[in-house]
Amino acid sequence: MGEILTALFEGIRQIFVWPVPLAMVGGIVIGLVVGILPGLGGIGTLALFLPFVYKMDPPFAIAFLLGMHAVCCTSGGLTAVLFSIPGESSSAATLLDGFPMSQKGQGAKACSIVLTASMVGGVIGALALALSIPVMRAIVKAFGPAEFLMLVTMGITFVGALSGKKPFIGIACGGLGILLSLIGDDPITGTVRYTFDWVYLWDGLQLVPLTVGLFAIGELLEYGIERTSISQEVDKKFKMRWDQVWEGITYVFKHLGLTLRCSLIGMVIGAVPGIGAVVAAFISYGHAKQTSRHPEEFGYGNPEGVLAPEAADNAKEGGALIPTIGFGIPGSAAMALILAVFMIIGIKPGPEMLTKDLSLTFTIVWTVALANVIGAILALTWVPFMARVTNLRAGILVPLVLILSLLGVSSRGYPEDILMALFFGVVGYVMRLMDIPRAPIVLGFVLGRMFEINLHLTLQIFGPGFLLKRPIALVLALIIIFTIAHEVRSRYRIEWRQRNGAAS
Amino acid sequence: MVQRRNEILFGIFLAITILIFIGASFFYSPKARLVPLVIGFFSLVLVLYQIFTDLAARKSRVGDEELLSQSKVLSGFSFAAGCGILVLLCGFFGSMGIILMGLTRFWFRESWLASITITASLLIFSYLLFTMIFAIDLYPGAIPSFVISLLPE
Repeated sequence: MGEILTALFEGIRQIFVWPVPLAMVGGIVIGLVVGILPGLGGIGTLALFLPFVYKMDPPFAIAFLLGMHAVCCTSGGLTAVLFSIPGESSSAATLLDGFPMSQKGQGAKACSIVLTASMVGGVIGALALALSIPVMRAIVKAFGPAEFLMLVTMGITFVGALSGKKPFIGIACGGLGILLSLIGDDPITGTVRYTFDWVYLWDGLQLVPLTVGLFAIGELLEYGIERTSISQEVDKKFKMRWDQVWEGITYVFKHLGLTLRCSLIGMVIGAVPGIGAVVAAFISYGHAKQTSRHPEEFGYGNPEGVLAPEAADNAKEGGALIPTIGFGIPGSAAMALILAVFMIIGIKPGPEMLTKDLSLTFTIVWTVALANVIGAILALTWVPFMARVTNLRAGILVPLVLILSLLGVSSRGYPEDILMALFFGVVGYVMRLMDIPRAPIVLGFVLGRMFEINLHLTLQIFGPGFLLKRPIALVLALIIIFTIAHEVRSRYRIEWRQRNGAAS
Repeated sequence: MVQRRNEILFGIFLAITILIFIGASFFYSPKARLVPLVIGFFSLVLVLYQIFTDLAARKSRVGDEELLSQSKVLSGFSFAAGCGILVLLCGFFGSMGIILMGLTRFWFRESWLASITITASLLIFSYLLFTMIFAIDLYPGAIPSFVISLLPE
């Protein structure tokens, strides 16, 4: 016990040795700025700064890169709320309710919820990282292809069934997302599918043009054609909405139970290698809707729908570090880069991190926790200014959103990416006009490849009756069936009541 | 009722798209078409069920419907198509200059000064961030590339 306490204090001491705090704050500021730009996500930025790590000391490198990575997903939620542009793919869940809040003139409150929930989630994730490395070994080992397959299915069907008015159309949109993800090289057989001899499609459709098109350009077309601003609240005077910022902060602490549950969901999903932030965010969103007293308000600006995915999104970073540090298995693509950083600076992930290098493990824990707190505090001071953006007139707003969107899309330098974003922009605009949910397409697309690989592996290893051989997969399958049945039943009951009410 | 008709239209569009994926999958090996078939048929069944349910519910009440605003969709499509053509011809910076200037001055009726300020500041921001800091080469466009190729080396 004494050894752990010594390591705990040594870990925090290393963070405050000059110039490590400077590195952390620098990393945090870069992370917040980069998170705002779609297409320049955390992974791209980590890769960009990787070459500089060679000249850094371990605590300096950890503070800089982990500080930067820990807050990338925080600011991605802000653009999702303000412009309907998810800065990170996991922020797609946040915009479902965050953007309608901005439209109602509650942009500052939504941003404040994003930041506070991210902070609490990030700290919980870091604490979980500190406490659960020995326990998580068993959990991570219990997950094989069959369980991954069911988790992926769960993510897609939950979002499909829970968003929009028609559960079956929502699930079918998730299916369409999976089908779109199949374009390009087949990971199993190497067959090139659905490219129609267009070389650009050999690499498959790209996530950024799809997401930016469906959401950002879809919204932009609406504001351009209608010549309106995002917020429907008439607010001519320049008023700093500090009241909304405070409201958002207190909202998270008033709903601490939901914040804690979603953080734990994020942490556990983050700890399972390969599942990723998007599933964590959407499963938390589904959980929030199922446990809410006002599920009918979801999709129309319910603050719980903003809180849940953001808490999970930041908590999953701590979770993802568990297999990375404990077993040297990266929990995500970003963690693979963090693992590379560890190797470069001479840190050897594995059991030694719990014994010989325990103080370094605690440096990592403290960095993640502090980065989330500092990042949230820094960003909270900007919120009232940022929220003013929702009141900008269309003549300024539309060009701003257009260039931000197309810049993010252009990061590969291919003009086809812009064309794809514009095409999906029109699709997103039509879906918006028809009130059809767009999030299931994005989620299906993100998880499609994983679905395919795990389906093939599961059938090869366990055969078609895999559910009978894998109890965890069976439980997950039952949860999926129960949730969909419950959702469909409640939707049709509401519709039936409305019809009968209208008839009488 | 307007909404229901729109949903039926979207359902039909979705069903056709899924059918294209299912049909095209028969050109690939059995292993490569497993997921397209499983997901495609499952999604198709759901969409068709929803379409028939909506059609049945619609039969009883017709009259107060109108189609999805066709002018809006047409405007959106025209804007996207115009942007796409401009990007291909003039590259990122050229097309953005034309689009932003055109939008601010002629669509949103901002003053000339405001239009030029907004366009210039956004283009400078893009250039500084992407070209100078991140060193990302944005698409130059067919016309600038052709003009540059004509210049003596």
